[in-house]
Amino acid sequence: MSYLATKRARDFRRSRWQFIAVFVTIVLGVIMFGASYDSYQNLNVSYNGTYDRLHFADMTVTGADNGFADTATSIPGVEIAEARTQADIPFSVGDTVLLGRIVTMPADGQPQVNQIDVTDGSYLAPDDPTGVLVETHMAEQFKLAVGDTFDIATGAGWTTVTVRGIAVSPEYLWPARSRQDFFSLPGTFGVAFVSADAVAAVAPEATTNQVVMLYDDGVDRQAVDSAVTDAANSANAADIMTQADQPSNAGLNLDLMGFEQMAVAFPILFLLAAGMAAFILLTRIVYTQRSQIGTLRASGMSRGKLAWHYLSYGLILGVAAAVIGTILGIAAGWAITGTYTGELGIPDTIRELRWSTAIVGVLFGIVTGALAALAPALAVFRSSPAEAMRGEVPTTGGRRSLVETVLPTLRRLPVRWLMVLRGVGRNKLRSLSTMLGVVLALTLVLAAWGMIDTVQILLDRQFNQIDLSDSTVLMDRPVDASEVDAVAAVDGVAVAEPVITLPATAKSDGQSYGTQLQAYVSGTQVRGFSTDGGGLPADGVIAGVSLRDEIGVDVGDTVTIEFSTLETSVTAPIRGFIEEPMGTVLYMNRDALISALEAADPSVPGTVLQNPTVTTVAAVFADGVDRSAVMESIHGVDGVISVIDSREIYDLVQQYMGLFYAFVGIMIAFGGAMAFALIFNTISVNVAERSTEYATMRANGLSNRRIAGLITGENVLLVSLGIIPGLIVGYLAAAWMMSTYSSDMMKFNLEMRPSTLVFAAIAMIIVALLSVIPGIRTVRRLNIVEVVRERAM
Amino acid sequence: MTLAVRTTDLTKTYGEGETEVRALDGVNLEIPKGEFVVILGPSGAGKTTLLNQIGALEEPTSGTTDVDGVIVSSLNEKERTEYRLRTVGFVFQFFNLVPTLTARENIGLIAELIDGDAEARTDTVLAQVGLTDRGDHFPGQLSGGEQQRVSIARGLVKNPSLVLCDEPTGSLDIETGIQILELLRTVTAGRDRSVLTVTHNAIIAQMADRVIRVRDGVVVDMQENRSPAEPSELTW
Repeated sequence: MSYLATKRARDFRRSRWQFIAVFVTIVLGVIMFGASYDSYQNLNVSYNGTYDRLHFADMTVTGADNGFADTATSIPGVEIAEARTQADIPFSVGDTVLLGRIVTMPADGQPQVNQIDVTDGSYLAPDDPTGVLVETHMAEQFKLAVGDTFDIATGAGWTTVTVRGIAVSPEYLWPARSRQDFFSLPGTFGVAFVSADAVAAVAPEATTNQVVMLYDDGVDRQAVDSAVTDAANSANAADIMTQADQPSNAGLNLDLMGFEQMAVAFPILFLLAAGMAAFILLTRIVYTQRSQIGTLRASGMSRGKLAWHYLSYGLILGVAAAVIGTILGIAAGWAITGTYTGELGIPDTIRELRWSTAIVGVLFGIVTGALAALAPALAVFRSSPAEAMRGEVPTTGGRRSLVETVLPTLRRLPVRWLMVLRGVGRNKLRSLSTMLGVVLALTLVLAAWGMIDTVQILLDRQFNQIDLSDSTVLMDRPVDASEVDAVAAVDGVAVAEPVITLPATAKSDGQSYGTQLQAYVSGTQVRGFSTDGGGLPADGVIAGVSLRDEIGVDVGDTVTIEFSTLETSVTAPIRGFIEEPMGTVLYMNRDALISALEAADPSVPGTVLQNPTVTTVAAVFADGVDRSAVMESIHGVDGVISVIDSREIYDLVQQYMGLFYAFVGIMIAFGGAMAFALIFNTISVNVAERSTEYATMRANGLSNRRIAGLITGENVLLVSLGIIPGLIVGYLAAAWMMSTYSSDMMKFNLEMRPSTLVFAAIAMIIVALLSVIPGIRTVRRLNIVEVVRERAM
Repeated sequence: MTLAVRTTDLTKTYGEGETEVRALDGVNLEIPKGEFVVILGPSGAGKTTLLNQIGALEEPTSGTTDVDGVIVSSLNEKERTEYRLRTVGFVFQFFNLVPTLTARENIGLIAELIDGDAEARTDTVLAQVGLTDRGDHFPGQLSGGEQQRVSIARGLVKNPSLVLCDEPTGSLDIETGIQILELLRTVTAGRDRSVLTVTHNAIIAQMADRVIRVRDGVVVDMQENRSPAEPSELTW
């Protein structure tokens, strides 16, 4: 080992804790990159692997005219178009009745589009018309196994079917009924794949209503999407859904998007912090070794060799941290991929070793280390031997702090307070880096914490201010006033109202948006609306705010609302938009809807809307009642087949938040570690630089406690100064992150509790207090005798 | 004769075994109150170690140090801090001023730790060291001599009975060095205050009331100087 290498190794050892802090920060940054980028790539490949293998539809058109499959096949870029039937009809599984979904498939073999994985049992068979395949989520919920039976409602009544197999479908990797019902409560939704021939036999009213398409490889998807959309609109399609909009796929993509953003944004925060910490540390080392540098230069060592020597500190640190970070990051990415695909039941888990991840990860670390060391190395390169040989650091010109200039009365403060004030401006770059560290850490923490707050506040709004019902009651008969009254009469039910829910397509100027329309009675107490009057207008429609962009409409415009299940349409003016966390739904006054449908062409009599698949009963319970007892009582009402507990949906969503909480916990820990590393390094350097001052103070009778107070005061002040911009930047970053998650399916406008900002700020102060402990211990251990005899700094 | 300092068998060793260095080896010393004492010796003789023992900057390996009746060697850390605050004032070779505080504030930082009017006391010592007009200047705006004056004022503001100087002129040119010695002589004259100055500059010994020579950790000679020279008469 060369002597310079020996010197470097000893320098590393001498400032080991500071180097370790930088090292850990770089490792964390590279881990975050490797884990999030590889998770993103692996999940993407896994999802796409499943999609490709099972020929997941590029486009799904519902409710178009007969023969649209042939039309679609003739569109350039469409490879295959297959017609099938999809219908939402009641299932009865054991004691539970739910609104299920049947999807037809050829009995003699897999369809060409949207194939399924039969994970247990066997595929449909022509000679077994009542044998069905159950989608895996439903099978799990009801513990259905091959050979079990359940009932499907058909026009002829309940038909018993037998489970031939359990299947995974690319359409239901996330079991969402629609973009409006993204979170379906287990037990309230299930999918069964049935033979097309069998459906024709037992439910002739279920017409072929859906065309699913596969595109040719390598086509311009947007162009084909556009051509298919035009053709589907011409064929009066009720709903046109690209692969990107498909609810399950869109939901999974939200996760992917999160990983993609994390893969870029968060590692940059860490590497910036690590770079700053390394820069401070190396600058300090070069500063203290000026006389050594001068001596070596005077002895004939070249500038380049010396500059390279100091640059190598950063490079070695960066390479070591990057290699370890990359290995750990890739391992974490693989683990996350496996956990995710396992949790979500994705059939294909593809984990690839990507050299690009390894190379970029290592480059991240090297560049961070190299850039951090560059400025100190250049300083060495530029220094003259004579200057460096002096080894004396000129006494810096002191000055009063800005705040003293603005408020001269502050000059009357005790001198130790003035020291704290002026300490902040003593080394501006270092102070700025501490503040930047706080800003970066708060950005990381708030971006993560903002997600939790947003989701929790929005869920609270959705389930406590918007959906005011405690339960939704499904009946087996037309729901008229007497049925509603029967539910209302149940002890413990405060309010019961009929609610109409219809699949609907809003159209305007050739653009359409498939959604659902819900109609409530005047002055409804089961649904809250954030309209001016707090309720529904007497006429017209109000819509989720995304409709404005989806079909380019505004308040006052008239939209056409097509009802595929009723085979009619109405027009209505838009009275307003409301912002709701979940879905983009159309709302109308129930009486206005009934009148509009009766006046429509073709007309739909109001009694049709009493169909139990259209009208349900929403109930609000009296305060303080035993919820399960009330629901049990409702179950006993004649005609009631299912009582859905709204709370359960809320609880379900909260349950899904489990992974989120873990994620936020990790982010907060990482943010704290990052802030600690940077503040710790800054303080260490500050203490080292001022050791003579502190030792002199101790020699002059200042107690350790007072000096600790000075150090703590200065750094807490610095951190506090960083907290204000940190909270602002963190809030903006959180708002940006949440906005990228927003779509017509879910609105994620940032909501942040004031307490979150307070807690984040307190957390930073605590980190600052923890960070000063090593510095204070150093001062306690200062050898006054040695230090006071050394030339300052 | 009232004693300012008495050391008894004072020993200080550093390291262990083969690497052990005996910096002080059973030093017995008596320094009367009110004297200007110079401790002379070559590098490594143990003179600074002796000063540090008297100033309670270090604990002895054995032996005792008595300053104004206080057994310094038996004090705990808190008591040592209090002792340094109340009893001794330090003047170092390298001034060691806080660069972000003005001259007045550097002195005030210590003055505030003592009961009474810190501001008045600061002004008094600033005047004593002749820096009344430079009090609001930061160290970077002061010459080396002025910085050392501030350093002396910082040591005096506590009104200590003992001033300990470690090479107080070591960083200064002759002229400035002599000015500093004059100042040290002036601020201590007639105040029942003792000054112990460590130096390897034998010339300075000419102005001392007492000269202690140290070599290899042992006091080899202690002489009273009945006719000390004026600092202005010194040259080196």
